[in-house]
Order: sequence, then structure tokens, then C-alpha cells
Amino acid sequence: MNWTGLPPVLIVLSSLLPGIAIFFLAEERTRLRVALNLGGAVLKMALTILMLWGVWRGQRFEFTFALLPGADFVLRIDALALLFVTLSSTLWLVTTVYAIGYLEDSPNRSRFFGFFSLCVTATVGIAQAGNLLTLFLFYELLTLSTYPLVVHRGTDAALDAGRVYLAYAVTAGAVLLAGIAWLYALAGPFDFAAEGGALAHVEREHRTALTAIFVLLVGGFGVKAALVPLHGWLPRAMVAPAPVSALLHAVAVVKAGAFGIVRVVYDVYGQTLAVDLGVTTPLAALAAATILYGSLQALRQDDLKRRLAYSTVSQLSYIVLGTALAGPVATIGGLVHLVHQGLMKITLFFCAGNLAETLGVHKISEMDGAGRRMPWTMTAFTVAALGMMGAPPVAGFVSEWYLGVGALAAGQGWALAVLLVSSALNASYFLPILHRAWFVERTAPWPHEEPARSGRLETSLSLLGPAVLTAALSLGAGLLAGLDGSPLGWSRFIAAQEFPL
Amino acid sequence: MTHEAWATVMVVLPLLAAAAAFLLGGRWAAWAGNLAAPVLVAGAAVLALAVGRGEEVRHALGGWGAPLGIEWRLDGAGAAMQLATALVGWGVALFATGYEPHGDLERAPGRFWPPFLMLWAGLDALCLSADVFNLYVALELIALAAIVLVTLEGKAAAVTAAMRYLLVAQVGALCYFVGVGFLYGFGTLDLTQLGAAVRPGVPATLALALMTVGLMAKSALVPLHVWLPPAHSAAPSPASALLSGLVVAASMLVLLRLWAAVFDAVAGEALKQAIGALGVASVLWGSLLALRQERLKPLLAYSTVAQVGYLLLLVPLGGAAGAWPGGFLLLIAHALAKAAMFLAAGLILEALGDDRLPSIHGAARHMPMTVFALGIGGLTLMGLPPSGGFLAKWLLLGAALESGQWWWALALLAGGLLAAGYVFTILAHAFKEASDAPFTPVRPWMEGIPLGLAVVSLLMGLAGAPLTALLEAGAP
Amino acid sequence: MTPALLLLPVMVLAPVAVAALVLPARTRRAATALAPWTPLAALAAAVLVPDGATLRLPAVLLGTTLALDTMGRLFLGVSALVWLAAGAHRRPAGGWVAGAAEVRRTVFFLLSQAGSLGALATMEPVPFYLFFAVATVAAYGMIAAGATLAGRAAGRLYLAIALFGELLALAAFMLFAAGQAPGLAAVLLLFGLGNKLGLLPLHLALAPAYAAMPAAATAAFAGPVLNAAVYGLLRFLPLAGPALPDLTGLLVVLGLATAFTGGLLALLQDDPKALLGYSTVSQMGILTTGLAAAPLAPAVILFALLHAVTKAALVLGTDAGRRGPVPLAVLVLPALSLAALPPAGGALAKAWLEEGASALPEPWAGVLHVGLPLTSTATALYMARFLWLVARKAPARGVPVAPFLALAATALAGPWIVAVAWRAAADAPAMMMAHAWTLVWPVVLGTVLAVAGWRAGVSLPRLPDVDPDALRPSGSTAARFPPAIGRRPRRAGLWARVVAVEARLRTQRMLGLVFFAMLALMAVLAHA
Repeated sequence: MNWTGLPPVLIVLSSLLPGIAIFFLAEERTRLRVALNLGGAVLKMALTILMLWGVWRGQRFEFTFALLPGADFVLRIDALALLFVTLSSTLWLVTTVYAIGYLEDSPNRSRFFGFFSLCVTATVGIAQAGNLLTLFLFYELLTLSTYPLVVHRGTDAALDAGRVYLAYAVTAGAVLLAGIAWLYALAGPFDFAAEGGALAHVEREHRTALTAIFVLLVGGFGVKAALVPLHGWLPRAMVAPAPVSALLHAVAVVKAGAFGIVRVVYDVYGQTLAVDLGVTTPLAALAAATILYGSLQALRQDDLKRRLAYSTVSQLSYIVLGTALAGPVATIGGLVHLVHQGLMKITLFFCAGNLAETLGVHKISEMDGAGRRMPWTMTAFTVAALGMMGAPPVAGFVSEWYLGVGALAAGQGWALAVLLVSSALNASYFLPILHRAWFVERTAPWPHEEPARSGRLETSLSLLGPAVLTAALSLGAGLLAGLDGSPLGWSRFIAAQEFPL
Repeated sequence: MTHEAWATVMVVLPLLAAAAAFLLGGRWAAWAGNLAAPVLVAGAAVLALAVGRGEEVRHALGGWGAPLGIEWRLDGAGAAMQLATALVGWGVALFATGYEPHGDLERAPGRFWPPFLMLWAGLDALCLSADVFNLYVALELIALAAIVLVTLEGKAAAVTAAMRYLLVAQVGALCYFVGVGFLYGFGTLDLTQLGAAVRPGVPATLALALMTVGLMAKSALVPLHVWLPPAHSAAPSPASALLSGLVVAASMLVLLRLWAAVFDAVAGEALKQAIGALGVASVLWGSLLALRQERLKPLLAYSTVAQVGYLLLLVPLGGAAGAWPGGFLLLIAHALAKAAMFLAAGLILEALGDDRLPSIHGAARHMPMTVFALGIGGLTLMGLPPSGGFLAKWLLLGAALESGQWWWALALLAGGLLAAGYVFTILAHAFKEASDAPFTPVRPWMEGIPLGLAVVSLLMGLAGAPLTALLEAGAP
Repeated sequence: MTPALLLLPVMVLAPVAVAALVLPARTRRAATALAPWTPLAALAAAVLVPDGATLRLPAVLLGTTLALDTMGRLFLGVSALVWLAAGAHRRPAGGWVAGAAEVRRTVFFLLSQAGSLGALATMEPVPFYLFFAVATVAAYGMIAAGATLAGRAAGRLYLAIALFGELLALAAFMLFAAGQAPGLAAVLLLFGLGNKLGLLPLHLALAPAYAAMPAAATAAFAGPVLNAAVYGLLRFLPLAGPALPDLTGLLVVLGLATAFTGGLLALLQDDPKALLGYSTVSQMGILTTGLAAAPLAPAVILFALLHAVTKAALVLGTDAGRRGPVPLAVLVLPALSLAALPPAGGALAKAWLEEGASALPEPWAGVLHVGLPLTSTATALYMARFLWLVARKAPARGVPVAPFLALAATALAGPWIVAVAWRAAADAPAMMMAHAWTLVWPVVLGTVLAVAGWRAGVSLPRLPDVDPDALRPSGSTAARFPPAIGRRPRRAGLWARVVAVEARLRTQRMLGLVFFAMLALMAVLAHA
């Protein structure tokens, strides 16, 4: 093993080791815990930046370890992996700051931050996984490390949500395992391969089996990606503390599912084979149904976090849709939305957390006048919400543009109609929130105003800073999409590898 | 020291320690166990390394080789099992030292150690044995020690459970012994030689039936499992750890060795499938009952029934690549994990005075390490990565699919799901915030023991390659 | 690259920056002093940026270039002028930051300004879409900033329609980008941008929006924001091409229908600003007929620019006209110009449109020859009512007059200056002379009818107001749009029928139905 194997491992360890150390910290050692948390996060960030530079210059980083004879554990940093790693590293850093502020003085913080770090470890593991087995390993680790976060509060509602989450996630894991094992039995061990997938060597007479495996794999990943009808756990998981929701919805869990589907379509099957098998169109239809269903459900919610949760259901399928449309432009749209959705959604959840923590506001009907009381929070929320609707110059527009044009280029104009209807629905469930916050005068007192949070700023800096930062990133990612280093630029870079011209 | 010498130490040292503990009694008994344990761990490690490197470890007792004399021969599975025994034994020894003055051993100071060490000796002997009679002796030694362990506390429930255990174990042993008799008709008792000598026919069939059923009873496979849950839950927690982790595995080891060496050649496909189906029945039935339990220890006990069931799949999967190492990986990983979980249950009992599930609310806050141990142990039961249980399941899945018997794959997956059901039932209760139940703090280092064992079972997943290499040594 | 090019980003960023400074209390005073002057950068840009100079910003969005050609320059100059006038009108009225609602309105005023000016300096779809969206969404802020229920209702209606429009436009741009279904794309773009023009059936939002805003904001909305939409249509609507279906019929019929519906509805208003809103609908209907013939683009430009200035002058006149008889008398002039009475500037543009209509195939040329003059009659009628409504209003002091006068003068003289200076418009005066009769008689007819009606004491029915009850938040529906905006009228008869249909159209359900029906129709049409 030469040194190029080291960075992928370090990226995983930079959150794993602090996470484990934090478990064993006494509750009151706040300072050491914060240092470990932030140290890990910053280190990971630094490593990621280094990798970005390396991969841009054409370097590959790979770490292989024989788990079993014929079953390797492979961590590999390619451009696609790095897209996800960068997203998770960045948002982890931000969310850690947020969580430290959010959970001030609440019990069980060591446990919380321990699992928090494990969760990110699993995410970067998924990102860097070089084959399906490795991906599965981290995928399950993710399930396990998020469960304690979901039930963190230990209330009946939290435990219920946890139970449902597990029921879905563990079943999905089993289905996924079945699919992977079957594929290995059929094709032997293989690694992900860009440019045409890894199954080129499997004879075409296994078409039925390959189709069935595809269904199993997508079913397994689809639960975390919250494809209808596998989405039931997501809205319930809202009982978790806000930083967890933010992480769940923007970075870790749902993205892992979507990313898994991306890997399966591009790097396992390859788009040629997937299209040839005829599995992409049903997948696209499923994604479209999810997009619309999620939006319609979101419209019906009064609870802010639930509305955001259904919005996640809908938005995630943009990624799947982009993948399933099977064309270079749509691919860019799907990939870039992986990042954009993360930035925007995490902002929204931060803001929802700020409202809940500072003012006790949980419902949309309680939000009258929130804009005047918390202008920065609501500005961040507004930016992200506009992005979700696909309004320029926020990042969401760039995704939508590429998805729409990609759909047309792939000859699937109906997908464009779905996108537009979804945008309209997005507008009709986000705009009333904005209207209440900015244009309606407050008449009643706030449900539960937290005096400790109100200082010179509208709320604690550690709650406000992350929200504003991610909002700025969402705006920047859209406004400066033309840069090579923007999410869009990087997605083009990836697509250029998947579709060598 | 030579391998032969180590092999001897593995059996003799625990016997000596048992004698010493018996003679010293009281608090001093713990010293005997704690001094012997690290040596045994070292010995097991040395032997396992040797076997893994491909060296032969055999020792003809008294200089007489098979078929006339008794020969010890360590194969990969035996070495691995011995290593697991040593690790679990060491953990239990440490744990019992701290547990004795407080837990359910309170009324019997020192009385835990002699049967415990005897059991250890029996297990080591079983791992080393290569002939069917020797195996019988080891099995008997183990069974007796185990029954004593169940009754240590002398509670009525424990005695009743022990009596039932005794009955089943002895009937099982008898069946096995008669089977040995039939096999002797082929002129040898050595497993390898039997494999070459055995011919299909009535004696072989009878031997197969008797020995298989006998061992199934001792291994608590459905429908012969009913003795296990009461016995394992009535035993003091360190004893439960040994019983569920190791004792059941021991008889299973014998069963699998017999099938691999002897019966596989004479049995028809239908029978193998039927045995596999019984295994599946165990998995499903045990898991479902585990889901219905309201107390922690019975839940874990039923989970043992379920986990042992997987091993029967090795019969229909036979020589498929990966099946043998997969099965034994599962056996070992389960031994470590289940022991960890029972020890954790013991701590919870000590801290909260009760193992009813609603009573463990708040445990995650009071004793996070213990709950963590339960969780990590649970990973192996569920077969989730990166635990040893996952690798085992991966190998078994691969074997099932590659040999075209996909239905066993379904059973494996279903079992994993059910396991997740009961493991997370425990965790959900532990995570629930409690009212203000009385809570006795436990010593942190004791919390470390189950956690350590659980972590070993977890990290086994990273040592898959060397472990598989070890298990392949001497595999059919 | 010339340094003057930098004026293009500056003119966009300056209002945004000032808006950001208006928000914190500490910088509010200074920012407010700057606020009226931000359009100067745009004005300078319109004069100084040379033709063909291009500012490339590959990093921004999907790659952006900013540049001005003649059309952009004309639009930019006029828009900047109207923004300046609107700002100046607002300043002494003290309205910039008095109270939270006004702070909000100021912010949106400036944001809308940034968008509407930026839109005129791009020739690419994506940045145009961005600027246009900023302009129109910020306009919602201007409409809804006040806390009145009517304002909020108007805002919601406007926003619903505007957002639908945005989506249609987005779809159109995507189709263009993918090079597919140009016919469908053209129709989508027509409605996507045309909803700002009040094209049927998307005409509902303008009048309530006009009425809900103070005059300065309305002027900006009626001038530059609308201009951005017209600019977009002229820039991006492919009016001729081998793959295009013939849109002439659609444009002529739609344009005339919009013109007369708007005229009719304008006549029914009690609020002069609402009347001007429907007047815009009506005038834009006329403009739409001009889109039917590609060579008419300069005429359309002239018409749009003139309308922007005239309408802004009229809007400011609703305030200024209350200062006394002189401003009120001056208000008659832009009103006549809107009705295209020679020699007012409006007549130049109208004559050009009428001349151009001859180039269309029959029967459309004939239809326009009858239809276009009659629109002037309608205009004269409702302008008479407008003047009457303003005159009836209570006199007011302290309302600025200068911006109004400046705009009115521009409205009258501007087209002549353009005709002299812009080579493409050089023939317009001659056309006016040729069409003098068809320009004059409709206005005379309209005036006569108006006077006769007034003398005869004809009373006109009122359109129902927005129903405030429907807006009160209640339970689970609170987060949605109100289910119905509008009340059933009680009076029977034809008028009442019209009114009822209008009210029905305003309900959200109908709105949705109409939208989807339109979309379906367009899709079928484009497919056939």
C-alpha cells in the first residue's frame, strides 16, 4: 500500500476516532468534547480540500483491504465520491457548530455527539465506498448510528419514530443485502466502474435476474431515499432534535439512499445496460410520482418540520429522476441537486430549529411576524425556500434547469411537466410561510420564548451562524454556478467521466 | 513451548485450577480462575496462529495414535472455538470476580469457580478431540458442569430448570453414545478414518439419526429447545453467558464435524433439506418467541435458540464454498456477542434489580456503556456489518446462492430482520427516559467487560480474511 | 471592454446594496437618501455603453453576458426615467421608511428596480429569467407590503398568476435550450411573460395590484416591470421560423379580445388606479396584435416605451391631479396620448401599428383595420371616466407635481424625439399623417359617448371587491390560498353576468382550471 491509500482512510477516521473518544467522555467535559468534535470536522474538511485538488489533477486515491477472500473492502476517492464527501464534510462542520449551540445544557450530550460523528463516518464511508459490499457496510452503519439520534429524547413519540425508522431501514438493509449477494453470486466480486458500469462481463442471458436485482437494490436504497411508497419513516423521524433532522434530511440518510441509486445506475449497471434492461423508465416514473406526492403531502402539513420533511421526500426524487432520465444533461442535474438540496434543506431545518428553540414556534400558523423578530433566520429561510421552488439565482434553479433541459434532451418531456408542477406546488407550500413571516403582523405573544437565547443577536450565534452560512452557500452555488469549482462545475466534471464524448 | 505442550495445558490447567478453587473456596477461588485465564487465552492464541499458518497440531495421548489410542487433533474450527472459549472465559472470570459480592452469586461465594473451570476444560478438550468417543466424554463433562452452574443459586426455579436440562442433556448424550456404538462397527472412532470407512446402510443410518437428534437436543434446536430458555435465564448471569455462548455451540460443533466428516456422504438430499428446514424453524421460532418476551434474559435465551438454528444450514449447504467458514464464524461471533449481552444483562440486573423490560427504562442514561454493549452484541445477532455475524451471513448467503438454494438465503435475511426486531426492542426500552426508578451504580470497569467482548465480536468483521483462512484449515 | 460596461452590473447591484442598507436601523437614514437616485446608473448606462460591447461573466449562473443593443438601450433609458420619476414622487411624500410596511415596500421597490433594469441588459434566457423573476416577485412585495386585507388578497392573486407565468416561461426557455418543440415554447413564452401584460385569461391580477400600491410603486409596476416582460417577448419570442406554427391568428384574436375586455372592465372601476390597471390590460392587448408581424418590432417597441411613460404619468397623476386645476388639466394630455389622438406621441405608435397590420394575411388585416381604431374609442371612454374619477377626489396638499409633469412632457414629446433620432422610426410621422382620420374619429366618438353618458346619468355597476372574509386565517386552511376571492353579485342583467363571470374567474379553483385548460390546449395545438 502506498500513500495514496491513506487519505480515504483518514477521511473516515477523522470522524470515527473522535466519535469513539467522545463516547467515553464524561458529560461535563464540554470543552474537550467540543474540541474533539470541531477538530475532527476541520481535519476532515482540510483532507477533503486536499483531495479535491488531487482528483481535479487526475489523481486516484484507493485503499483496499481483503475482508474475506473474494470480498474486498474498498475505499476509493473518485470525482463522484468527492462530490458527496465534500458535501458531508462541509455540512458536518456546520451542523456540529449548530448542534453544540442547540444542545447546550441538555442531557446525554456525549452519547449524542458520539453517534453524530459515527453518522458522518458512515456517510463519508458510503461516499467513498468502492464496491457494493463496502457501500452496504457503511449503509448499515448509518442506520445504526442514526437510530440513537432519532430516539435521543427518549419520549414515546421519539421511540415510536425510531421503531418505524428501524422497521423500514433494517428491512431495506436485508433487501439490499439480498440484492448484493445475488449480484455477487451472479457476477463475482467487482468494483464500481465508471464508463459503462461493472457488469459488462455478465452475459446478457441473465437479463431477468439482473432486472430483479436492480429492483432489489433500488428497493433497498429507495427506503433511505424516501421513494414513495417507502417514505413513511421520514416524516415521523421529525421528532428528533433539529440538528439531527438537518443531518438526516440534507446530508446523511436520505442522501445515502439517493447516492446509492446513483452508484447502482451509473457504476454498477451503467446507463447503457440499465436503459437496455428497461428499468430506467419505471424508476423515473416512480421518482416523478414521489416528487408530486411529497409536494402534495407537504401542502397539508401545519407542523413546520413535517412540511419540510415531505418537501424532502419530494426533492430527493429530483436526484433519482436525474439519474433515471439517463442522459448527460439530466445526470448533471441529478448530481448537482445532491449538493444543492443538501445546502438548501439544511438551511431550512436550521431555521426551523432556531424558531423552535428561540421562540417555541413549531407550527406554521404560529409564524406570524417571525421575520421581524428573527430577520436573519427568516432571510436564510427565505433564500433556501426560494431555492426549493427553483427560483434563480439560488442553487435550486440550476438543478431544475439541468433536469428540465436534460429531460427534454432525453426525449422525456413529461418529466419537465412534473418538475414544473412540483415547482408550483413548492411555491404554494413555501410562499404562505414566507408571507406569514414577513407580511403578517404579530398579535399574540410567542409560544415559548427562551430568554437565554436572546442577546444582542436574535438568537445564539452558534444557531444563527450555520443557518446564515448555509443560506449564503446555497445562494453562492447558484449565483456562481459557472465556476469550475462550483457544485455544477464538479458535476459536469463527473458527467464527463460517465459519458466520455 | 511446543504445540503439544500447549494443547495439554489447555485441558489440564483449567482442571487444576478447578481443583484449586474447590480446595481454596471463598474469595480465594477467584484467584485460581483469574490466574489461569490469561494463560489459557495465550495458549488458545498460539494454537490458533499455528493452525492458521497451516501447521499440524496433533498430540497422541500416551504416545498411541489413532485408531488404537486417543489422539488430539486441532483443526481450524476447533482452534477458533477454543480461542472464543478463552476470550469469553477470561471475560467471565473477570466479571465474576467483581460480580460475586453483589450479583446473584452473592449467596454462593466461591462456588461459581470450580464448575466454571471444569466447563472450560471440557470445552477445550472438545475442541481438541478428533474421535467420536473423546467428543462424548468432553460433552458429558461440559453438560455436568453446566447443570451445576444453573443450580448455583439454589432457587426453586433454577433447580426445576436444571432438572429439565439434565434430562434432555442426558437423553441426548445417551442417543449420541449409542450412535458411537454403531459407528464403531466401521472399525474406528477417529473422525477422519470414519469418513473413509463408513458405508451406507442400517448402522450408518441409525448412527446418523441418533447422533443428530441427540446433538440437536443438546443444542436446543426447535422443537427440542424448550429446556434452554428457563435454564439460561435462571442461571446467574456469568453462567448464562457461558451456557448460551459456548455450551450450546460446543454440541453444535460436534454435530457439524460429524456431518462434515461422516454423514454427509451417506445422507440423501431430502434429509439434508429437511435438516436445513429444521434449522430455519429454529431461527424463526426462536426469534418470534424472543420478540414476545417481557424479560431481558429469557429474550436473550430465545435468541440463542434462533442463532443456533443458522448452523444447521451447513448441512444442506454442504461443501458449497464459504459455507463452512461462514457457519463457524457465526458460531464464534455469536459466542462472544451473546456472552457480552448476558453479562450486560447481569449488570442491568444488578443496577436496577430487575430485568423486566419496562424496568430497564433509563438504562441508556445511567449505564451507557452497558447498553452500548447490548447494542453492539445485537449487531452480530442481526448480522449487520461490520460485525463477525455479518461476514458469516455474507458467506452463508453466497454459499446458498451459488449452490442454487436461494431459499436458505431468504431464511437468513428473515432471521436477521427478526433479530433486529428483538434487539431493538431492548434498545428502545433502554433509551426510553425513565421516571425515577432506584438505581445502584455499577463499577465502570465491569461495564467495560461486556463492552470489550462485544467489540471483539464486532471487530471480527475486520479480521475476516485471517479467520476464514484459519477456519478453512481442516475444513471438509 | 470599456469601463462604461461596468455600469451594467452597477445599475443592478446599486439598488440591491441600498436595499440591504435600508434594513438595519443604523444605516436606514443614509440609505433612504440614496434610494431615489439609484436609477441614474441605468440612465448613464443607456447613454454611455457602446453598441456591441459585452461584459462576459462566465462564473455567474450558467454563464452570463451583459450587453446593450438599440432595443435594450431604448428600454433601459425609458425604464430608468420612470424609476427616477417614481422615486422622486415618493421621496417628498415621506413614504420611504415611515413604518415597517413602508420599509418593506422600499426594499421591494429597490429589488424590483434591480430586476427590471437587469433584465434589459441581457440577451440570454437564464439571466433574463433571473432578473425578470426578481422584478416580478419583488413586485409582490410592493403590492402586499401594506397590511390591508385587500392588498394582501391582491398580492396573492398576483403572485399566483406571476408564478404560473414564471413556470411557463421557464418551460419555454428549457424547450429553447433543448431545441425542441419551438411552437409550444413560443406559446408558453407568450403566456409566461404575457401574464404581466394582462393577456386573457391572465388579466385578473393587474388592476387589484395597481389599486393596492401607492402611486409611486404603481408607476414603477406599470412602467419598467411591464417593460421587462415586453422586452422579453420581443427578445425571445421566435415569431418566424420553418418549425413554427402560424401564430398570427392567435395573436390577433387574443390581442383584440384582451384589448376590449380590458377596456370594458376599466370602465367599470371606481378606483382610478384600478381603472389604469385594466387600461394596461387593454393597451397591451393592442401591443399583442403588433407581435403578429415580425417587421413590426420597432413599432411595438415604440408603443411599449410610450405606454410605459404615459401610464406612469397617469398613475402619478392620480396623486398630482389632486393638487389643483392646473395639474388636472395637464393630466388630460397623457390621457389623450394614450387614446392616440394626433399629434400626441401615442398617435405615432398607433399609426405605425395600423400601417403594419396591412402586411398581415387576410382575414387578420381586415379584422385589425376595424378593431384597432375601435380600441381608441374604448380608451377615450375609460380615460374620460378616469379624469372624472381623479377630479372627484378630495384635493391634497404636499403631493409632488414635478415628477408627474416631467413624465407627462416625456410622454408627449418623447416619441417625436425618438422618431427623429431613431432611424427605424423615421417613417412614423408620415404614417400618422396617412392614418390621421382613423386616429381621430375613434377618439372623438369615444369622447362624445362619454359626455353623452355622463349627461344622461348612466350609472355603471361596480365590480365586487376582494372579499376580506376569505382571507382570515382559519384552522388548517390557514396556510393555503383562500378558497375563493369574490362575492356573487346580486344584480341581474348582462352587466351583472359579466361581473359574475369575472368574479368566478377570480376564484382559485377556476383559475387553476383555466390554467390547466390553457396548458392542455396549447400542448394540443403545438402538437397538431
